[in-house]
Amino acid sequence: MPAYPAMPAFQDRVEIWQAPLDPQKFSHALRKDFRAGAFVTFEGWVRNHNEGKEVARLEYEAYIPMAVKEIQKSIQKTKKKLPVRTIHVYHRVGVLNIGDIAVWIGVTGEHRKESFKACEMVMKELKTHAPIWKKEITLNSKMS
Amino acid sequence: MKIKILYFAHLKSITQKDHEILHLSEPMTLLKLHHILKQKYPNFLEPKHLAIAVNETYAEFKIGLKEGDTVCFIPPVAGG
Repeated sequence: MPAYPAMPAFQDRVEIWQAPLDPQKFSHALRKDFRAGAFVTFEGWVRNHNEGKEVARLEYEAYIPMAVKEIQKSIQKTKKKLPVRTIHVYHRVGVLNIGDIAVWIGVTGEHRKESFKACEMVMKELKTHAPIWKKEITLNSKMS
Repeated sequence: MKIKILYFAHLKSITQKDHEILHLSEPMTLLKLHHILKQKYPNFLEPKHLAIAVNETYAEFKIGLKEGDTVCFIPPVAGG
């Protein structure tokens, strides 16, 4: 019996949610991978200002089946470059208020360096390839 | 030839719909389809401001359409 038993990585996961994202639940799903020594997460939040304007809310929409496929491709591309274990991505659509989580990415790996890099790479790919759009509603546009 | 076109974001505002079905009388490329839509909706974005997907996969404007294709013109994306 090997001293350090092999353990398959968990399955990668991509989901688009209408409901508020639940980071505790997402983190829990990635724990107990005993080959992993690093767990990096990223949360994208709705902030209250952008380019000098006060933001009231953001409205996200997605071409959901294609967005899921494109994010899955980003995960595959990332894992070809970086030896990480598992990547989970959740993105929200609908009306998001200030402070809401728009996107959550979790990456497990044996070491931190590649896990941080993988998290950044998936996020960058998502922003450039996934057919997801956001409409910014500012306080001024809310009144008009 | 019947095709389905999906609209999101800015294009949904311009066309005032989230999808439409077109019956095309002749084979054509995506660029030609864009030309038809530009005539129908004068504010339709120019190709240089759009990506395009056929059946949920990114495609090029020069490719030809097939019966039953689902086409989506993709305005600049902004996820995250």
